[in-house]
Amino acid sequence: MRAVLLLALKSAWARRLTLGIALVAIALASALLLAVERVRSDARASFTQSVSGVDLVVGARSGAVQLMLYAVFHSGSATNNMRWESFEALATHPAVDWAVPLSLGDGHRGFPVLGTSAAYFDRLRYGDRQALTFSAGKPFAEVFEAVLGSEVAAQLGYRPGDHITLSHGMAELGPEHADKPFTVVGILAPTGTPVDRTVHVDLAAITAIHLDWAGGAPLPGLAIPAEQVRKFDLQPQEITAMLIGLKSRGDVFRLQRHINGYRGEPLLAVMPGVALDELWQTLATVEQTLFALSALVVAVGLAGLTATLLAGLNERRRELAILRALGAGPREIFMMLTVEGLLVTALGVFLGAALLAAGIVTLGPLLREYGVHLALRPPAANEWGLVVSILTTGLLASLVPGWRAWQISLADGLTPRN
Amino acid sequence: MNAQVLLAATLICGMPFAHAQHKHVHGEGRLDAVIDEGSISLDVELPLDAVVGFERAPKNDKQKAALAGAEKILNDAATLWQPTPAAGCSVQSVQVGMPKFDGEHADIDANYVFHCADPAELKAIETTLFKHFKRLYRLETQRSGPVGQGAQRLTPKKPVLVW
Amino acid sequence: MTHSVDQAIRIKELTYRWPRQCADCLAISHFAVAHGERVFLHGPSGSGKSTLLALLGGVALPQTGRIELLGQPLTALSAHARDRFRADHVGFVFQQFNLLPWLSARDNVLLPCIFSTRRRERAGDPQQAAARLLTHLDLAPALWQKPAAELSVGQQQRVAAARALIGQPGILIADEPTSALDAPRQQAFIDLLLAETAAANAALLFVSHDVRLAAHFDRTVALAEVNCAATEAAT
Repeated sequence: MRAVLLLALKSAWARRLTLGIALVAIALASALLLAVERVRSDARASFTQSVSGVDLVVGARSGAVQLMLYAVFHSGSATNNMRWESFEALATHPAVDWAVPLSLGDGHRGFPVLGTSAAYFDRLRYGDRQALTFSAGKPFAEVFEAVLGSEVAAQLGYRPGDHITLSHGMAELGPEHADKPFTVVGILAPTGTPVDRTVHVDLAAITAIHLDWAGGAPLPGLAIPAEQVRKFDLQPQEITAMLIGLKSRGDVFRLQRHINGYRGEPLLAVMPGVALDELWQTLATVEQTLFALSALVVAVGLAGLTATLLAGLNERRRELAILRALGAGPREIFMMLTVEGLLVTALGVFLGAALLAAGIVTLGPLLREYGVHLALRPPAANEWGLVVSILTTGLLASLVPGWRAWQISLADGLTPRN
Repeated sequence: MNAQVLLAATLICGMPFAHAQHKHVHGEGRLDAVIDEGSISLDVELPLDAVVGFERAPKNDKQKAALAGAEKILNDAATLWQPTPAAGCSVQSVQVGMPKFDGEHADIDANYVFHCADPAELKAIETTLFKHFKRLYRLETQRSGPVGQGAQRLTPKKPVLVW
Repeated sequence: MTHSVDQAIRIKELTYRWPRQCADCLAISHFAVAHGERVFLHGPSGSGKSTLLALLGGVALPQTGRIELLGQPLTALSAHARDRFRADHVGFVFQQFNLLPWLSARDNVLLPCIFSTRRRERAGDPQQAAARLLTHLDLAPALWQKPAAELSVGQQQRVAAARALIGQPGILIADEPTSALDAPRQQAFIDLLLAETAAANAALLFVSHDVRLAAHFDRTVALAEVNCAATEAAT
């Protein structure tokens, strides 16, 4: 039996060009299907990982998803600000365990700058409730100190002790706060969340660099040197949003209702996990359509394989007759053909997975800017499921030429009819 | 690319603020579930119409009977909610607030608290609400639990809250 | 007549009709080839030659009558067992395109040893057996590793003969093996084939339309004479 399979392999190798084309089609189709699935699940995972320890995200009233995307993922359009008094009032609410202010709007060479409090580093949790850790240095303690996310440091080659200047707005060429440089004091370990791409500074620093600014530009004739800023009240009037962790999970709905009905100003409290799920719900149709399309592409690829094998069969009638004369039964002939198709499918899926890995290596960094971390990892259970279904479909597609070869070998016997 | 999809989705659906805002949709109920250290708290809000088929004060004996029947069903927490049996959950308290018929729309608010002996085994909660109230076709659920937060849409075909 | 066990091929009261045809295309009351006997069967096309080959190969079964190879009634065997029997005991050489073009000459010769354990065992060391046969059949060792497709027609036919002979099957059936060869090579090939079948002590059934080739065989039989169906159709 092994020798017969070996013979099938040799025969397939002899037709490697035509089979190769079918193989490439299957590989591309499999890569597409696996990529759709990988991006879907990893996007979900990396988004969910980013909000694992936060019970509520609070900001000015806008869209729930908009607020969450901007506050946690620093992407999408900016929301209105909320008042500092509201932050203080909510931070001292009896149900609240911890509260961290977020102030966004500035950037450093394309990376967002987040003004926050040092509590951020203690309180924020990512992934499976893991705390942030420093790969170098320590949290900021002074106004003009900055803590970098791992990717910021890696991409721009910064180390503790380096000086950086922030720019106003996210544009790479926005006006610079050049007069007030920051010292890098800490670099965070990689988290696979937007933290990696963020420059963290003290909330007071955001106020400080804008002391002599108005309306997005420096005030003419007014320049406050960095050494002088401490003389000013650096408490902000407004912040972008706040993150809240609760003492007891059970209070989340009550506090959410409280904040949504807050008297001081119109606020919105979002349960980030809920908002994400709702986002996935609305995206489900898009995902399913993409998935269905790529499944269809796989089906087309496998149909191509069937067509290739069937078309080749006519030219192989003599080969089949020779094998018959040598003692091969219709069963063996059937098996040779089916194995050939299955083999091409399996190689195609394998190649597709390799293509996906190559794609992740080359294109993965691009997706990171949007908070989606594609990890190079062995296929997960759902992807194995896809692999198995591609192989099963490939087997079904190979049964057709196998069955046809069976018929031919029975009809032709030892002398092929042409 | 993904962020653009996300943004597009945000813009398209708009996601009008605040889930907790009381919007009233016929046939659609809301469920807030907290699963915390061996206790389950379920806050349910059902449009009266989905429960009894009308949403004004009962006009005749038949409607009064329907209302009383609904209240009885809603008080039977052990039948309405079925947490994973292995978790050994038992009803601790039930509060059913029948509508007062003062506003435009009438809602039923109910709260159920369960205590579970073996919270590690708790994996899902099934509801029989849809079997009892045929006009209810959707229960928008928000959950905060051991594996984080989530939203799920329960329907007559999928009446199980899982996490 | 000798006992059937001594016969390599024995056919008795056989009729065969292809599916969906109303007349028999083969009807043989008696035909036999003895062990080691070399028989020339004269069969022009249309004489039922392909049908006879299919029956001898066991890929078709007669509607009535007996067909025995080496004492084994084929009709008593399942399809699978007939495939095995063919692999074990019968070597075939066809008109042309006998070889799998993507295998080397030597690997083509070794093919029967893949399908038949018996022939692999009887070949001793299959590699050596193949080398010996190829040498006897006058194929230069330089050609052994070449893909079959690159050999000339005459070389291919000699490789095919070596393949039919490896592992010493009891019966060799050659169907117009020389028709693709030019006249001088025809005779050379037949000489080689006769010598090798004699050496292997195999029975040879050589089927051809060309009576001129019959000279060197032990016996010549015209298929038209043994096939009553053809006779009836002709008259």
